[in-house]
Amino acid sequence: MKKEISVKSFTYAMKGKRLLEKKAISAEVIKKAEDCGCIYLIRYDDKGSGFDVRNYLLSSGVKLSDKAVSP
Amino acid sequence: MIYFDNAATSYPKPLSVCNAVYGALMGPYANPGRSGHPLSLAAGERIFEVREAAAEFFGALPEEVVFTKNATEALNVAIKGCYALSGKNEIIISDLEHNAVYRPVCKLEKGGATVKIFNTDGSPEQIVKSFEALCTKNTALAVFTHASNVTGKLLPVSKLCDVAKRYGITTVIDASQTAGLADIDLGEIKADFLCTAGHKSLFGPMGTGLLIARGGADTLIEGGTGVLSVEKEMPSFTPERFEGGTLNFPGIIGLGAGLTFILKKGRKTISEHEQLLLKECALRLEKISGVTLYLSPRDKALNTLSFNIKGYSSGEAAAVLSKSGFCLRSGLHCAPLAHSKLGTLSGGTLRASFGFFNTENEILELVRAVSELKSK
Repeated sequence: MKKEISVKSFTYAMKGKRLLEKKAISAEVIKKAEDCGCIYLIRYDDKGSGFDVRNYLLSSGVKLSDKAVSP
Repeated sequence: MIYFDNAATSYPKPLSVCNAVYGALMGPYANPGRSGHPLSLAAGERIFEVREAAAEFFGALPEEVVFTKNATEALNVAIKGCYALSGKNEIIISDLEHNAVYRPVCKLEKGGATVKIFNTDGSPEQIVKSFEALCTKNTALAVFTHASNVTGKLLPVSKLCDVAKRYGITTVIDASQTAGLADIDLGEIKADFLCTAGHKSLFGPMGTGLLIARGGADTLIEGGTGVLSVEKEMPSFTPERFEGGTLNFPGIIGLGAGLTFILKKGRKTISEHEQLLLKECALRLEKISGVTLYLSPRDKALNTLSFNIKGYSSGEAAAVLSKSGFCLRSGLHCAPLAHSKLGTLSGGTLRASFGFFNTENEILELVRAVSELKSK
Protein backbone atom coordinates (compact mmCIF):
# COMPACT_ATOMS: atom_id res chain seq x y z
CA MET A 1 0.00 0.00 0.00
CA LYS A 2 1.26 3.49 -0.84
CA LYS A 3 1.50 6.00 1.98
CA GLU A 4 2.57 9.61 2.03
CA ILE A 5 4.37 11.67 4.59
CA SER A 6 4.77 15.42 4.38
CA VAL A 7 8.17 17.05 4.87
CA LYS A 8 9.40 20.62 5.18
CA SER A 9 11.31 20.90 1.91
CA PHE A 10 12.56 19.19 -1.20
CA THR A 11 15.92 18.65 0.49
CA TYR A 12 14.29 16.81 3.39
CA ALA A 13 12.12 14.88 0.96
CA MET A 14 15.25 13.66 -0.83
CA LYS A 15 16.98 12.90 2.45
CA GLY A 16 13.94 10.89 3.56
CA LYS A 17 13.76 9.08 0.26
CA ARG A 18 17.39 8.03 0.56
CA LEU A 19 16.89 6.85 4.14
CA LEU A 20 13.88 4.76 3.18
CA GLU A 21 15.69 3.26 0.21
CA LYS A 22 18.48 2.21 2.56
CA LYS A 23 15.81 0.22 4.41
CA ALA A 24 14.71 -1.31 1.08
CA ILE A 25 11.52 0.74 1.10
CA SER A 26 10.78 2.14 -2.32
CA ALA A 27 9.95 5.85 -2.21
CA GLU A 28 9.39 8.82 -4.49
CA VAL A 29 9.23 12.56 -3.98
CA ILE A 30 6.15 14.45 -5.06
CA LYS A 31 5.14 18.06 -4.81
CA LYS A 32 1.62 19.29 -4.22
CA ALA A 33 0.10 22.76 -4.13
CA GLU A 34 -1.79 23.44 -0.91
CA ASP A 35 -3.33 26.61 0.45
CA CYS A 36 -0.19 27.27 2.51
CA GLY A 37 1.93 27.08 -0.66
CA CYS A 38 3.63 24.03 -2.04
CA ILE A 39 4.51 21.06 0.10
CA TYR A 40 6.69 18.06 -0.53
CA LEU A 41 5.63 14.52 0.19
CA ILE A 42 7.48 11.27 0.31
CA ARG A 43 5.29 8.54 -1.16
CA TYR A 44 6.50 5.15 -0.02
CA ASP A 45 5.55 1.50 -0.07
CA ASP A 46 4.13 0.41 3.25
CA LYS A 47 4.54 -3.33 3.44
CA GLY A 48 2.60 -3.54 6.67
CA SER A 49 5.61 -4.68 8.66
CA GLY A 50 4.88 -2.28 11.46
CA PHE A 51 8.05 -0.32 10.77
CA ASP A 52 7.50 3.21 12.06
CA VAL A 53 8.51 5.34 9.08
CA ARG A 54 7.56 8.63 10.68
CA ASN A 55 9.64 8.02 13.76
CA TYR A 56 12.53 6.65 11.71
CA LEU A 57 12.66 9.75 9.50
CA LEU A 58 12.23 12.11 12.41
CA SER A 59 15.00 10.51 14.44
CA SER A 60 17.27 10.56 11.36
CA GLY A 61 17.02 14.34 11.09
CA VAL A 62 14.29 14.68 8.47
CA LYS A 63 12.11 17.69 9.27
CA LEU A 64 8.51 16.61 8.85
CA SER A 65 5.67 18.95 8.17
CA ASP A 66 2.34 18.91 9.93
CA LYS A 67 0.63 20.24 6.81
CA ALA A 68 -0.53 16.96 5.37
CA VAL A 69 -0.15 13.27 5.99
CA SER A 70 -2.39 11.26 3.76
CA PRO A 71 -3.13 7.54 3.82
CA MET B 1 50.57 29.18 -22.51
CA ILE B 2 51.34 28.01 -18.98
CA TYR B 3 48.69 28.69 -16.38
CA PHE B 4 49.83 29.44 -12.83
CA ASP B 5 46.78 31.29 -11.51
CA ASN B 6 44.91 28.42 -9.91
CA ALA B 7 44.34 30.37 -6.69
CA ALA B 8 42.07 32.66 -8.72
CA THR B 9 40.35 29.79 -10.48
CA SER B 10 41.56 26.38 -11.55
CA TYR B 11 42.24 25.91 -15.24
CA PRO B 12 41.79 23.78 -17.22
CA LYS B 13 38.73 22.13 -15.77
CA PRO B 14 38.53 18.35 -16.01
CA LEU B 15 36.71 17.19 -19.13
CA SER B 16 34.16 15.45 -16.90
CA VAL B 17 33.23 18.86 -15.42
CA CYS B 18 32.73 20.37 -18.89
CA ASN B 19 30.62 17.39 -19.94
CA ALA B 20 28.53 17.60 -16.77
CA VAL B 21 27.76 21.28 -17.39
CA TYR B 22 26.84 20.50 -20.98
CA GLY B 23 24.62 17.65 -19.84
CA ALA B 24 22.89 19.88 -17.29
CA LEU B 25 22.09 22.42 -19.97
CA MET B 26 20.96 19.84 -22.50
CA GLY B 27 18.59 18.28 -20.01
CA PRO B 28 15.88 17.35 -19.89
CA TYR B 29 15.88 19.48 -16.72
CA ALA B 30 13.84 22.40 -15.42
CA ASN B 31 13.99 24.65 -12.37
CA PRO B 32 14.97 22.49 -9.37
CA GLY B 33 12.76 22.66 -6.29
CA ARG B 34 10.05 24.68 -7.92
CA SER B 35 7.56 22.50 -9.75
CA GLY B 36 6.15 19.04 -9.32
CA HIS B 37 6.69 17.80 -12.85
CA PRO B 38 9.39 15.26 -13.69
CA LEU B 39 11.85 17.77 -15.20
CA SER B 40 11.89 19.91 -12.06
CA LEU B 41 12.05 16.91 -9.72
CA ALA B 42 14.88 15.35 -11.76
CA ALA B 43 16.88 18.58 -11.55
CA GLY B 44 16.21 18.72 -7.81
CA GLU B 45 17.47 15.18 -7.43
CA ARG B 46 20.70 16.03 -9.32
CA ILE B 47 21.19 19.01 -7.01
CA PHE B 48 20.63 16.83 -3.97
CA GLU B 49 23.25 14.38 -5.22
CA VAL B 50 25.79 17.22 -5.24
CA ARG B 51 24.67 18.24 -1.74
CA GLU B 52 25.27 14.69 -0.59
CA ALA B 53 28.69 14.60 -2.26
CA ALA B 54 29.73 17.94 -0.74
CA ALA B 55 28.41 16.89 2.66
CA GLU B 56 30.42 13.70 2.58
CA PHE B 57 33.49 15.57 1.35
CA PHE B 58 33.43 17.98 4.30
CA GLY B 59 31.95 15.75 7.00
CA ALA B 60 28.63 17.57 7.10
CA LEU B 61 24.95 16.79 6.52
CA PRO B 62 23.34 17.32 3.09
CA GLU B 63 20.92 19.90 4.48
CA GLU B 64 23.86 21.93 5.84
CA VAL B 65 25.24 22.41 2.32
CA VAL B 66 24.14 25.73 0.87
CA PHE B 67 24.98 26.61 -2.73
CA THR B 68 26.14 30.15 -3.31
CA LYS B 69 27.53 31.97 -6.31
CA ASN B 70 31.02 32.17 -4.79
CA ALA B 71 32.92 32.22 -1.50
CA THR B 72 32.30 35.95 -1.14
CA GLU B 73 28.55 35.44 -1.03
CA ALA B 74 28.94 32.56 1.43
CA LEU B 75 31.13 34.71 3.69
CA ASN B 76 28.75 37.66 3.54
CA VAL B 77 25.82 35.45 4.51
CA ALA B 78 27.75 33.90 7.41
CA ILE B 79 29.39 37.09 8.70
CA LYS B 80 26.48 39.51 8.44
CA GLY B 81 23.85 36.90 9.28
CA CYS B 82 25.61 35.74 12.46
CA TYR B 83 26.47 39.21 13.59
CA ALA B 84 22.86 40.33 13.21
CA LEU B 85 21.60 37.60 15.53
CA SER B 86 24.44 37.66 18.04
CA GLY B 87 23.57 40.59 20.28
CA LYS B 88 27.31 41.18 20.71
CA ASN B 89 29.53 43.69 18.98
CA GLU B 90 33.08 42.37 18.58
CA ILE B 91 34.45 40.56 15.56
CA ILE B 92 37.88 38.96 15.34
CA ILE B 93 39.64 38.33 12.04
CA SER B 94 43.19 37.37 11.09
CA ASP B 95 45.72 39.70 9.53
CA LEU B 96 45.71 37.62 6.34
CA GLU B 97 42.08 38.05 5.36
CA HIS B 98 40.88 38.56 1.82
CA ASN B 99 38.51 41.43 1.09
CA ALA B 100 35.69 38.88 1.02
CA VAL B 101 36.08 38.90 4.80
CA TYR B 102 37.65 42.30 5.41
CA ARG B 103 35.08 44.39 3.55
CA PRO B 104 31.99 42.80 5.15
CA VAL B 105 33.49 43.30 8.64
CA CYS B 106 34.48 46.88 7.76
CA LYS B 107 30.88 47.50 6.77
CA LEU B 108 29.76 46.14 10.14
CA GLU B 109 32.38 48.31 11.82
CA LYS B 110 30.77 51.35 10.24
CA GLY B 111 27.53 50.28 11.89
CA GLY B 112 29.13 50.08 15.33
CA ALA B 113 30.99 46.76 15.48
CA THR B 114 34.49 46.59 16.94
CA VAL B 115 36.87 44.72 14.67
CA LYS B 116 39.98 43.14 16.19
CA ILE B 117 42.78 41.64 14.12
CA PHE B 118 45.02 38.85 15.38
CA ASN B 119 48.61 38.34 14.35
CA THR B 120 49.43 35.20 12.36
CA ASP B 121 53.21 35.36 12.71
CA GLY B 122 55.03 32.42 14.16
CA SER B 123 54.07 28.88 15.08
CA PRO B 124 50.51 27.53 15.33
CA GLU B 125 50.76 27.85 19.12
CA GLN B 126 51.76 31.50 18.85
CA ILE B 127 48.90 32.17 16.44
CA VAL B 128 46.37 30.55 18.77
CA LYS B 129 47.75 32.59 21.67
CA SER B 130 47.49 35.80 19.69
CA PHE B 131 43.88 34.92 18.83
CA GLU B 132 42.87 33.99 22.34
CA ALA B 133 44.22 37.27 23.69
CA LEU B 134 41.45 39.04 21.74
CA CYS B 135 38.54 36.77 22.70
CA THR B 136 36.02 38.19 25.14
CA LYS B 137 32.48 37.43 26.26
CA ASN B 138 31.37 40.18 23.91
CA THR B 139 32.88 38.63 20.79
CA ALA B 140 30.15 37.75 18.32
CA LEU B 141 32.22 35.91 15.77
CA ALA B 142 35.68 35.01 14.62
CA VAL B 143 36.46 34.76 10.93
CA PHE B 144 39.71 33.37 9.64
CA THR B 145 41.16 32.03 6.45
CA HIS B 146 42.39 28.44 6.32
CA ALA B 147 45.28 29.55 4.12
CA SER B 148 46.38 32.94 2.89
CA ASN B 149 45.64 33.55 -0.77
CA VAL B 150 48.84 35.63 -0.90
CA THR B 151 51.53 33.66 0.90
CA GLY B 152 49.81 30.31 1.21
CA LYS B 153 50.43 30.25 4.96
CA LEU B 154 48.14 27.78 6.74
CA LEU B 155 46.35 28.71 9.94
CA PRO B 156 45.57 26.19 12.72
CA VAL B 157 41.82 26.50 12.17
CA SER B 158 40.83 23.52 14.26
CA LYS B 159 42.62 24.88 17.33
CA LEU B 160 41.25 28.37 16.71
CA CYS B 161 37.71 26.97 16.58
CA ASP B 162 38.28 25.07 19.84
CA VAL B 163 39.38 28.27 21.58
CA ALA B 164 36.44 30.21 20.12
CA LYS B 165 33.99 27.56 21.38
CA ARG B 166 35.27 28.06 24.92
CA TYR B 167 34.26 31.71 24.72
CA GLY B 168 30.94 31.01 22.96
CA ILE B 169 32.16 32.68 19.78
CA THR B 170 30.69 31.69 16.41
CA THR B 171 33.38 30.67 13.92
CA VAL B 172 33.53 31.20 10.18
CA ILE B 173 36.32 29.63 8.13
CA ASP B 174 37.27 30.86 4.68
CA ALA B 175 38.48 27.70 2.98
CA SER B 176 38.62 29.16 -0.52
CA GLN B 177 42.29 28.26 -0.95
CA THR B 178 42.22 24.89 0.77
CA ALA B 179 38.96 23.11 -0.07
CA GLY B 180 39.91 20.23 -2.32
CA LEU B 181 43.52 20.21 -1.12
CA ALA B 182 43.53 20.12 2.68
CA ASP B 183 41.71 17.53 4.73
CA ILE B 184 38.66 19.40 5.99
CA ASP B 185 36.45 17.28 8.21
CA LEU B 186 33.82 19.24 10.07
CA GLY B 187 33.46 16.31 12.41
CA GLU B 188 36.93 17.28 13.63
CA ILE B 189 36.98 21.02 12.99
CA LYS B 190 34.25 22.53 15.13
CA ALA B 191 33.42 25.45 12.86
CA ASP B 192 29.94 26.92 12.68
CA PHE B 193 30.33 27.99 9.06
CA LEU B 194 32.69 26.89 6.32
CA CYS B 195 32.81 29.02 3.19
CA THR B 196 34.56 28.18 -0.03
CA ALA B 197 34.66 28.80 -3.73
CA GLY B 198 33.56 25.94 -5.91
CA HIS B 199 35.73 26.90 -8.85
CA LYS B 200 39.22 26.69 -7.38
CA SER B 201 40.58 23.40 -6.07
CA LEU B 202 37.12 21.84 -6.17
CA PHE B 203 37.29 22.13 -10.00
CA GLY B 204 33.74 23.44 -10.44
CA PRO B 205 32.77 26.21 -12.85
CA MET B 206 33.16 29.87 -11.93
CA GLY B 207 30.00 31.21 -10.32
CA THR B 208 29.84 28.39 -7.77
CA GLY B 209 30.50 28.48 -4.06
CA LEU B 210 29.58 26.61 -0.92
CA LEU B 211 28.44 27.58 2.54
CA ILE B 212 28.35 24.76 5.04
CA ALA B 213 25.99 26.21 7.62
CA ARG B 214 25.87 24.55 11.02
CA GLY B 215 25.00 27.64 13.01
CA GLY B 216 22.11 30.09 12.96
CA ALA B 217 22.21 33.26 10.92
CA ASP B 218 19.89 35.93 9.66
CA THR B 219 19.24 35.93 5.93
CA LEU B 220 21.00 38.22 3.50
CA ILE B 221 18.83 37.44 0.50
CA GLU B 222 15.11 36.82 0.60
CA GLY B 223 13.09 35.34 -2.19
CA GLY B 224 11.37 32.29 -3.58
CA THR B 225 12.24 28.90 -2.14
CA GLY B 226 9.54 26.67 -3.57
CA VAL B 227 8.22 25.93 -0.06
CA LEU B 228 6.17 27.77 2.60
CA SER B 229 5.30 30.36 -0.02
CA VAL B 230 2.56 31.92 2.07
CA GLU B 231 5.06 32.85 4.80
CA LYS B 232 6.53 36.36 4.72
CA GLU B 233 9.91 35.21 5.96
CA MET B 234 12.45 32.76 4.66
CA PRO B 235 12.22 29.21 6.02
CA SER B 236 13.96 28.63 9.34
CA PHE B 237 15.76 25.54 8.02
CA THR B 238 18.73 25.16 5.73
CA PRO B 239 19.57 25.04 2.90
CA GLU B 240 16.41 26.79 1.68
CA ARG B 241 16.85 29.55 4.28
CA PHE B 242 19.92 30.81 2.42
CA GLU B 243 19.00 29.82 -1.13
CA GLY B 244 16.46 32.39 -2.26
CA GLY B 245 15.89 32.33 -6.02
CA THR B 246 16.79 29.90 -8.76
CA LEU B 247 20.02 27.99 -8.24
CA ASN B 248 22.90 27.87 -10.72
CA PHE B 249 21.94 24.39 -11.86
CA PRO B 250 24.64 23.83 -14.53
CA GLY B 251 27.29 25.26 -12.24
CA ILE B 252 26.29 23.07 -9.31
CA ILE B 253 26.23 19.97 -11.50
CA GLY B 254 29.70 20.92 -12.73
CA LEU B 255 30.83 21.33 -9.13
CA GLY B 256 29.51 17.86 -8.40
CA ALA B 257 31.62 16.51 -11.25
CA GLY B 258 34.59 18.37 -9.77
CA LEU B 259 34.08 16.61 -6.45
CA THR B 260 33.85 13.28 -8.23
CA PHE B 261 37.08 14.08 -10.09
CA ILE B 262 38.87 14.74 -6.78
CA LEU B 263 37.58 11.53 -5.23
CA LYS B 264 38.69 9.59 -8.32
CA LYS B 265 42.20 11.05 -8.39
CA GLY B 266 42.50 11.24 -4.62
CA ARG B 267 42.56 14.52 -2.72
CA LYS B 268 45.87 13.62 -1.17
CA THR B 269 47.42 12.77 -4.53
CA ILE B 270 46.31 16.10 -5.98
CA SER B 271 47.49 18.00 -2.92
CA GLU B 272 50.88 16.29 -2.82
CA HIS B 273 51.42 16.98 -6.52
CA GLU B 274 50.73 20.69 -6.07
CA GLN B 275 52.86 20.90 -2.93
CA LEU B 276 55.71 19.24 -4.78
CA LEU B 277 55.48 21.81 -7.57
CA LEU B 278 55.33 24.61 -5.02
CA LYS B 279 58.40 23.39 -3.19
CA GLU B 280 60.32 22.83 -6.41
CA CYS B 281 59.50 26.32 -7.61
CA ALA B 282 60.25 27.98 -4.27
CA LEU B 283 63.59 26.22 -3.84
CA ARG B 284 64.70 27.20 -7.34
CA LEU B 285 63.45 30.77 -7.20
CA GLU B 286 65.12 31.22 -3.81
CA LYS B 287 68.49 30.67 -5.46
CA ILE B 288 68.03 33.50 -7.97
CA SER B 289 69.56 36.67 -6.66
CA GLY B 290 67.11 39.55 -6.50
CA VAL B 291 64.10 37.28 -6.00
CA THR B 292 62.26 37.72 -2.70
CA LEU B 293 59.96 34.94 -1.56
CA TYR B 294 57.20 35.71 0.93
CA LEU B 295 57.04 32.23 2.44
CA SER B 296 60.01 30.04 3.08
CA PRO B 297 60.20 26.86 0.95
CA ARG B 298 60.55 25.06 4.27
CA ASP B 299 57.16 26.28 5.54
CA LYS B 300 54.10 24.15 4.86
CA ALA B 301 51.86 25.57 2.16
CA LEU B 302 49.58 24.04 -0.42
CA ASN B 303 49.87 25.61 -3.85
CA THR B 304 50.48 29.35 -3.61
CA LEU B 305 53.74 31.26 -3.82
CA SER B 306 54.23 35.01 -3.71
CA PHE B 307 57.48 36.63 -4.78
CA ASN B 308 58.98 39.78 -6.20
CA ILE B 309 61.86 40.44 -8.56
CA LYS B 310 64.24 43.28 -7.83
CA GLY B 311 64.00 46.05 -10.41
CA TYR B 312 60.47 45.17 -11.48
CA SER B 313 57.11 46.05 -10.01
CA SER B 314 54.89 43.00 -9.69
CA GLY B 315 52.74 44.35 -12.52
CA GLU B 316 55.72 44.85 -14.83
CA ALA B 317 57.06 41.39 -14.09
CA ALA B 318 53.65 39.79 -14.69
CA ALA B 319 53.29 41.66 -17.97
CA VAL B 320 56.70 40.53 -19.22
CA LEU B 321 56.07 36.96 -18.14
CA SER B 322 52.65 37.08 -19.75
CA LYS B 323 54.28 37.95 -23.09
CA SER B 324 56.42 34.85 -22.63
CA GLY B 325 53.27 32.77 -22.12
CA PHE B 326 52.98 32.59 -18.33
CA CYS B 327 49.72 33.41 -16.55
CA LEU B 328 50.52 34.74 -13.07
CA ARG B 329 48.70 37.26 -10.94
CA SER B 330 50.24 40.49 -9.74
CA GLY B 331 49.14 43.21 -7.33
CA LEU B 332 47.31 42.90 -4.05
CA HIS B 333 45.21 39.79 -4.74
CA CYS B 334 42.25 41.50 -3.01
CA ALA B 335 44.10 41.04 0.30
CA PRO B 336 45.42 44.41 1.47
CA LEU B 337 45.73 43.20 5.07
CA ALA B 338 48.16 40.48 4.06
CA HIS B 339 50.17 42.84 1.90
CA SER B 340 50.27 45.43 4.62
CA LYS B 341 51.75 42.77 6.87
CA LEU B 342 54.31 41.77 4.24
CA GLY B 343 55.25 45.39 3.54
CA THR B 344 54.11 45.04 -0.07
CA LEU B 345 51.00 47.20 0.06
CA SER B 346 52.40 49.72 -2.40
CA GLY B 347 53.42 47.33 -5.17
CA GLY B 348 51.95 43.96 -4.33
CA THR B 349 53.59 40.70 -5.31
CA LEU B 350 53.73 38.24 -8.16
CA ARG B 351 51.76 35.15 -7.32
CA ALA B 352 52.21 31.73 -8.86
CA SER B 353 49.57 29.22 -7.84
CA PHE B 354 49.83 25.69 -9.08
CA GLY B 355 47.22 23.21 -10.14
CA PHE B 356 46.79 19.53 -10.72
CA PHE B 357 47.44 19.86 -14.44
CA ASN B 358 50.77 21.70 -14.04
CA THR B 359 54.00 19.78 -14.50
CA GLU B 360 57.56 20.01 -13.18
CA ASN B 361 58.73 21.02 -16.65
CA GLU B 362 56.44 24.02 -16.51
CA ILE B 363 58.02 25.00 -13.19
CA LEU B 364 61.47 24.80 -14.76
CA GLU B 365 60.31 27.01 -17.63
CA LEU B 366 58.98 29.60 -15.20
CA VAL B 367 62.20 29.57 -13.19
CA ARG B 368 64.19 29.99 -16.40
CA ALA B 369 61.99 32.89 -17.50
CA VAL B 370 62.34 34.63 -14.12
CA SER B 371 66.07 34.09 -14.23
CA GLU B 372 66.33 35.60 -17.71
CA LEU B 373 64.11 38.49 -16.70
CA LYS B 374 66.41 39.13 -13.78
CA SER B 375 69.56 39.12 -15.88
CA LYS B 376 68.25 41.67 -18.39
